Amino acid sequence: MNKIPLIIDTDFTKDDIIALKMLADSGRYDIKAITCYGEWFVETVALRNDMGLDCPVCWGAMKPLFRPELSENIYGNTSPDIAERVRIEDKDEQYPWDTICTEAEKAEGALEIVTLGPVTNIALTLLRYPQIKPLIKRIFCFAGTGGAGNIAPYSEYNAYADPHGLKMLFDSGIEVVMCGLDAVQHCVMDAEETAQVVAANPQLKPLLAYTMYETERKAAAPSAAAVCCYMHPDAVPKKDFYVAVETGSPLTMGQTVVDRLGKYKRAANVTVVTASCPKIFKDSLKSITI
Amino acid sequence: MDTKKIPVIMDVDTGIDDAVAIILALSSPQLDVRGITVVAGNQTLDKTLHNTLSVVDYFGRGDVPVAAGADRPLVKALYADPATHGESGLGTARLPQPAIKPHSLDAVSFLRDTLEKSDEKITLVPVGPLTNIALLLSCYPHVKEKIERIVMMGGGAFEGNMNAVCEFNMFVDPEAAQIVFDSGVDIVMCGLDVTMKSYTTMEDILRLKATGTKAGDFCAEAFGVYYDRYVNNSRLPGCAVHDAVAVTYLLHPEWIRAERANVKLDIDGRETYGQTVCDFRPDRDKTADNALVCLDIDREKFVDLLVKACQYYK
Repeated sequence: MNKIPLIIDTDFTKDDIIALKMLADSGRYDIKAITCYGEWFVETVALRNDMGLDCPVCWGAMKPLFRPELSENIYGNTSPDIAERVRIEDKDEQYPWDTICTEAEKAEGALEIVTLGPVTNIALTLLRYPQIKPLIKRIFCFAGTGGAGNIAPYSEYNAYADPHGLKMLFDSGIEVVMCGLDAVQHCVMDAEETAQVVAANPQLKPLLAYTMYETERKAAAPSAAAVCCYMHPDAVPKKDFYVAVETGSPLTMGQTVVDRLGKYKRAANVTVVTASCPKIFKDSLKSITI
Repeated sequence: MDTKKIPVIMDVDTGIDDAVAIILALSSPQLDVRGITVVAGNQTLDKTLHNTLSVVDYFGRGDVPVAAGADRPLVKALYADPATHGESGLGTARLPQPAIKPHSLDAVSFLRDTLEKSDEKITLVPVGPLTNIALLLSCYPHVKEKIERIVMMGGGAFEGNMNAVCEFNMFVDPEAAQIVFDSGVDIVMCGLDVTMKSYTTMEDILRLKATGTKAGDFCAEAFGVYYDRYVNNSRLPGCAVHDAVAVTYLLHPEWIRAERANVKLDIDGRETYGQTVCDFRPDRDKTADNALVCLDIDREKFVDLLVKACQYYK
């Protein structure tokens, strides 16, 4: 079977490290590049080297398109204990938009993109090279939510960080799959499940987010749970909706308004993942090599 | 049973479901309806006022003061909904000309005076746009201490009806709603999350009619076109009786599942203007919680209550 040509865009949160390993471990993807949002380029290069991947790592946008940069990432960053430290290579000297354009043309319509953080790099790519839109097969975003949020009542962090960028992706005409916080909530693990996963794979412990909103100790790796949905598309329910992104209100900035009832009478622009696959996710956590 | 009656003032934009809410409230021995104030919303103020007077008089409660309030929202132009409630506001139901007149005071003055003079706290039950209540709370904030709480129909935590996120009453006057949610008065929000679960099927409507009372006949007639519109345009197997849910909450809170939240009204959004933003996040600042958000209801019991209310008007 041909491997799927894939570019992964990351802001190098803890769960992104798990997500990257899952994608690399599967052997199903031909990872053409890892593109970086924000300040974690060096760590991403180190991880790439450590994983033995030979794709370039591209350092891209440091802030959202129009909104001010956020000081803290809600999903948490970490500088992992990676054996092989930084070895930046010549191939890492490209910008994301240039690399994505080149790879999209080379892949002749087969290129897929997975985004794990704010989508600024991809939005800039579409602004810089609008002609490549038909050459991108699919963009799968861990962003947004069809229900409750985390950074704000109805806003998920990645969507909140760069709502204008996300709106550009949604309205681009490219097939966009949104796997948001409401979907990956099913993959939050209770204390017992967390203990099982950590027992099977102790290296995971520092990469899990010991989370966010529950008083009891639960663990999650939201972007990795989303990637699991990307890797197992037949295991998760999806539906096409018109999805708007709020860009005006401080209270609802980045809210992904999913028009479930068809009130806007607008054509669907996003395929929304409505639930995730917790069993597959937990099994993957136990088996991946960290 | 000698339970003390709950003193309430309703604020309505009558409206088919407002009429049912009034019928329900006036039938209950648990409520002491001190007055009804009227606002523009489902229809223009002249019609909502006329309808309110008609309903109150026809159901034998001409003693309840009815005061006319705002004829337009605070900022936006009025958006009425004749497609749902008919040109009159009461669908195809026809009531006799009311023999009673509106109270001499306007709604805000009536609310202020009634609250000031009351020895006990009064619960406000607004089921239309919040224009009157916002003006009351902004202009006469000293009356807040006389308000027990506000039990309202409006908004929706995870549902809209005017668009994906905005409910009609919030849509008509979002700025007023923002004032009310920011007022510091404790709120019970009966929004679309619960009211879209509070519907009457054709079978239920036939039960109302079968009571053989003038209330049963009125409901069956008023629900005609309203029912058709719901069944044709929503996913419901009946018509939602939104406003009656706020009254039901007062009578039987145990039938309704609700969660505390910090609710704010969005008045800045391009996509979310008029949305009730309900913060349920467990790590929120719970000291800022201002509302109990109703999410689910025992529908069978709700319908039984409407039947019982109709039977009262024998």
